[in-house]
Amino acid sequence: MTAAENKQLMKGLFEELAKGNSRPYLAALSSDFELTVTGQTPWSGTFKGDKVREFYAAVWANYADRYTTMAVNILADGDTVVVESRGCVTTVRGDLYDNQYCLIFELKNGKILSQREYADTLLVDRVLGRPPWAQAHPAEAPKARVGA
Amino acid sequence: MSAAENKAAMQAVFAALAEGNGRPFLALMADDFTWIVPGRTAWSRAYEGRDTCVSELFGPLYAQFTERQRIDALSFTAEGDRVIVECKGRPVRTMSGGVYGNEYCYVCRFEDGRLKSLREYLDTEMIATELAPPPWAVAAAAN
Repeated sequence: MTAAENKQLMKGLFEELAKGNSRPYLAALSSDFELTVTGQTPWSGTFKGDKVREFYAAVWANYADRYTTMAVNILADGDTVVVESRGCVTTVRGDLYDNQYCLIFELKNGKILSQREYADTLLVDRVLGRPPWAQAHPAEAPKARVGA
Repeated sequence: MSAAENKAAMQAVFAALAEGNGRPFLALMADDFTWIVPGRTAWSRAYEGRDTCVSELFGPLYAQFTERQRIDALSFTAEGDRVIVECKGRPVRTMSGGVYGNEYCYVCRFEDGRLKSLREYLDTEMIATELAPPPWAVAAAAN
């Protein structure tokens, strides 16, 4: 597919995500799709196969209402599509989770092969709980902060 | 300039940044260039004007490093007037004894062959844990 076709595909998926409908996005993920969440939060890492489903299930368990994310900028270059998007949802603890994302998608034959996510990790740490695969260890000390 | 030319310009900038040389990056910035640091950290805000970027962002940031930082580009994506660069700073020791090596996604916008703005996506938590606030933020907090 051309860059323009890839862009059109992602534009369509994000039009649905803006309405809180993630089904077209999930359907476009290839069978060996790889998700990389940057940073060092408990949610950071690279996820593949069943781990992707586990990842999204754990994230969505934090949400009290429908999660929407709105693309504010989409551009394509060959098989790569970059989307800047703005999420919005209230968590089950009553916090607003409104992260700002830059997402790098690699596509092939109309399917998404990989996604690398850059977002506000401080907000992730403040608002999202820990995922089931990274429950807090009792002996774990909070990180010292030299700044804010 | 075309997307391909903008991309080539950023590739040249990063060839120098990989060697710890930020001069070509500075030279590409327009006088009214804006750098946006996202989030709610002490460093988060829009730095408007290249001179402001130097005096309030780059200067205070590099003053916290014990050595010159090299930045390696991982990918370049360009369309129209935008170039997106994924890159990684090689870890450097900070004056406070920490280690700072952030990973970035830069959304760069060109105008008339110069860099007009850059919106940065990065690990904000690493800013909070490894960097002291910039002097202007400390001064503002004291007032």
